Amino acid sequence: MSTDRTFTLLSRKLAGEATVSELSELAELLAAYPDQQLPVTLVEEYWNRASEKEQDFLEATYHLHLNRLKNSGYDITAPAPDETDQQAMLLSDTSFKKRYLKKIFVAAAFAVVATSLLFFLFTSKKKMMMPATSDIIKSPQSEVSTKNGSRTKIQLPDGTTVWLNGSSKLVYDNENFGGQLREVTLTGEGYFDVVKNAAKPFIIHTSKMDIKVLGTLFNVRCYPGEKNTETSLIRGSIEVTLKNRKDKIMLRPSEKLIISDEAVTAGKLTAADNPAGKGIAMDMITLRHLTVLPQDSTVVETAWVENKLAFSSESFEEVALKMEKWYGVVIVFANEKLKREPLTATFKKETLIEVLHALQLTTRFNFKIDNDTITISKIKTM
Amino acid sequence: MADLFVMNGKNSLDSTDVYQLQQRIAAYDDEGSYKKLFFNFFLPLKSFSFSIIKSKETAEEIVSDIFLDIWIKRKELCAIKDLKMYLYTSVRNNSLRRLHQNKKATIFSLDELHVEFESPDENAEASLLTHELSFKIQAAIEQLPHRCRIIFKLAKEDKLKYQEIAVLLNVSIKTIDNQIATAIKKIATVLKLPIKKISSRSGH
Repeated sequence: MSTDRTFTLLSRKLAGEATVSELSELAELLAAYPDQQLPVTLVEEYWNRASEKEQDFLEATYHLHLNRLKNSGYDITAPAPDETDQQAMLLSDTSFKKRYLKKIFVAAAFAVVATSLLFFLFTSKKKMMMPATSDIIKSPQSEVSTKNGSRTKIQLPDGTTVWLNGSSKLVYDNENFGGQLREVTLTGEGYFDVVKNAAKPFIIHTSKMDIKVLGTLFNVRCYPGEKNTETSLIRGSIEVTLKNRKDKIMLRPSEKLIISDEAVTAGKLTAADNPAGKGIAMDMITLRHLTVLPQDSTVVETAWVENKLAFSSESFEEVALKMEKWYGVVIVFANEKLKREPLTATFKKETLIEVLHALQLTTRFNFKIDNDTITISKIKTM
Repeated sequence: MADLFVMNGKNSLDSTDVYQLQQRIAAYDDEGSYKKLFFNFFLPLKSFSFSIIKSKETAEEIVSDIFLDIWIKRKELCAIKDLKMYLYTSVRNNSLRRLHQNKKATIFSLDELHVEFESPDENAEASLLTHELSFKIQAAIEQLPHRCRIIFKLAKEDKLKYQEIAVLLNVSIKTIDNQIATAIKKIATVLKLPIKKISSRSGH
């Protein structure tokens, strides 16, 4: 009799139907009848054994299924991001994410204190912004902007938190925000922690792309005058729609999408000449993994939120652009070759002079400071 | 949550994962999420349909039709609170309807089901279950009554709850409890015999 009871309890356990008391009853039965232990172990193993992965079969079936959908008038295939463009997976372990989120938390606390000290504008203006964006934006606008060298954190009416980097601007519609959609327009760089609300997607308009999200953590960098527009995703997922193009690109966590300025221009040209000319423009869009510095797991793309100035194998020219926004200065190169010098570093509290001195340790250059302008020049050889 | 969007070999999605995919399909027409649903459910649904309709081609067509419908009605997809049960019920109904058209058979009998089990993953780590034991289990399962096999399969392979199987097959939860225990006992019995022999042999 006891064996029948054992199998009833074992069945419930395997099917996930057993109660806590049934589980302990089963354990007691097995202790009382040790000869049952081995068959029970084998049955458990059989129950939980992985079955054959029929991945190829599924791929083929799915392909056929999409064809059927197409024949019924539903073409759902949007070009997926090209896997071959991706660099090696840098953020493999989840422990990293945990650590990182902890850091964000600390950074958030910092930012709250910093906000009260920072000088920033918070004005309501009645004016037309960004003609390219949705036509809903017509009523009173809220505008938050930062100067070069300052950063700030703001909270939107829906609870979403946005960190704004130097010389950036975030505009949203006071009245309609959160009505049906949550829409903002960004110039510069912003780090978004979007509060989840499946019914009201959050949309960020930039000059090069629109980004649609539900609830996620990510960074957008779209400074006018900079060659690249970048979106970096920390968690969740986002959908990027490029301006002038129909395709949508989904980003997965720890991926970053870079659009080079030429890409947008090329995209415009091909869109006019040949609406199907995806191939050419596609090459200008790159999908990468976020850059993590091995020393301290700093994610370069979002280091600024933690008040870190970080760069990894970036050209001196790109670094200079970051420094300009960071310290509120203008950096001029007297030598073209120096612009291409690759630099990797992280700075936290260092002054501009300290940073320049540190960079001089690895790269040979001279600098001259004249008010807000720094001139970088080659060291004259004897 | 983040892992949801990484296409990995992880076997099945839980109900929260599924609902998130529904939301993404409804909100963004997200093909990736649709594909994930398809990959997660196609094979078990096809297998379930096959047990009724007994034709692989028709079973595939039935499941494909249901997924077709899901895409067409994607805007209302979030209205379905339990998509998994919705899919299984649709497959059952459509398969029965098709069977009815073909054969004029009116009664759906669990004893007429043709149940096929998945093959084990040969590349999985070597385990206690040798080929010989696997073969014995297979033979034991083949001897189970059809009714018992479908219930056992839906619990083991499709990971359905007793309650869900009861609704789907229109049987009581008590029946399911009994049938699965019967199957487990049968399997345990064939696994036990050779070991006893060995131990008694070595004892003498």
